[in-house]
Amino acid sequence: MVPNFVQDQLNRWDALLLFQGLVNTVRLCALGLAVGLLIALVVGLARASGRVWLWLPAAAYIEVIRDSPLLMQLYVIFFALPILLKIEIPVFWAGVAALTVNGSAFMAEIVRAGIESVGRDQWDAARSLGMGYPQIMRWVVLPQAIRVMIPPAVGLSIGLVKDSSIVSVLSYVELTRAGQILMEKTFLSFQVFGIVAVLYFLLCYPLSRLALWTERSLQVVKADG
Amino acid sequence: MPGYVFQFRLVFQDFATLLEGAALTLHLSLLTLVLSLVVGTIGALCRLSRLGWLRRLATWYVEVVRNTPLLVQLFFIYFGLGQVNIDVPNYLAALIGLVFNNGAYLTEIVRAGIEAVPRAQYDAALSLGLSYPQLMRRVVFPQAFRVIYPPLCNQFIGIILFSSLVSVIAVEDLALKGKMLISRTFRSFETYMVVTAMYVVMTVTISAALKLVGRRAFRRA
Repeated sequence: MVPNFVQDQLNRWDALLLFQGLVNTVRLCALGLAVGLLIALVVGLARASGRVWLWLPAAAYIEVIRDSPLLMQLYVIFFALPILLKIEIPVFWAGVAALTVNGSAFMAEIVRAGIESVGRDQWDAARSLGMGYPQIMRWVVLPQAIRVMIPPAVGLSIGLVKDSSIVSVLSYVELTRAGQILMEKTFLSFQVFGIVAVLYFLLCYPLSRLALWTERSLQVVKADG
Repeated sequence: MPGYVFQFRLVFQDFATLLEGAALTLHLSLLTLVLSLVVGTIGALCRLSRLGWLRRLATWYVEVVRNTPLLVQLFFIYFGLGQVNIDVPNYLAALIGLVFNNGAYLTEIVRAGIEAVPRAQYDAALSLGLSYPQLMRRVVFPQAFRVIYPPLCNQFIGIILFSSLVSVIAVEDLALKGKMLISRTFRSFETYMVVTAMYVVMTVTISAALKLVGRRAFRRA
């Protein structure tokens, strides 16, 4: 008689595992988004600048990241870089790094589009007041650009939450990996991945509504000159 | 990089397997694009339908797909079908998953395209006595396609990139061929670099080609 280790239903410990996964997903995304925004600001400013040695590397970074799969970026960071640099990267930080790199490239384009949406006359006016580049950016351009940047940035964060599921391939126990573990234990794939999908939906749907709402409420009203 | 010796030769010795993987990635992506366009068109017509329940159904399809990860959808389909003892090849499961996913995005793209066609075009077509299918096929779709084309190209690039996820359910695409090559050669850095570069080359070439085609096809007379 072979003992049957297969559970035929989900119990409260399984719910706890899913909750732990959900928390880890949120941690991954929050860190990835926060660091990603900072890098995106730098890269986006470089991309929007007129100096070749600044915008060329920024453009190359954006293109290469946007034209390669996140899965590959994750593999490069987790498997390839440690060999090259002879360092060890914990799974969680590899996940954060991949999400940061990937998110920052898309976000940098949003930053650039935001900066370029501010008219030339704003620059001229600020310069005629004797402001330097940092001052113009800080006090004139960015405050106006941010209105244009917020709706697509919220949209991007939805993508980030969904993309964080890819970190599960490194066996980091975020929501998708937690689902996989339960699936292997119970073979109740429909139920388990159904629940996982619902949890992702609960994370993303409010963000979707927020994106829509910001799009409507932050709509830039062009003043007639 | 202390004392690391690059050995790209080992990777290029087996370059043929990577090319095989790239070929699978490409035809899986192309098939996905075509089938999702069909799903997306049906979805868009449902979203614009006069029947309330059809509209709600299509809206929910779009919302559910857009707010859950592709990977979870793939697992749901792949393992779920296994649970109810429907035996499908991995390739087919991957295709179903990708089409289910991209169909929702294309629903929104096609809908936006159809909505961009001015009302006057409908009135003109109706006054000429065209039926609804004729009106759609002869008047609306050709004009909508012009609007749909650029986002459709972007979506295709996205499909190529995200199709790498099918390697997780053991479809031997470029990503998986790369992993298999590493398990033979142990040159993970070199292999991942080459595979990533292959993805970049594929997407950059394809998007440039599509842009060129678009410029030719939609040149205004």
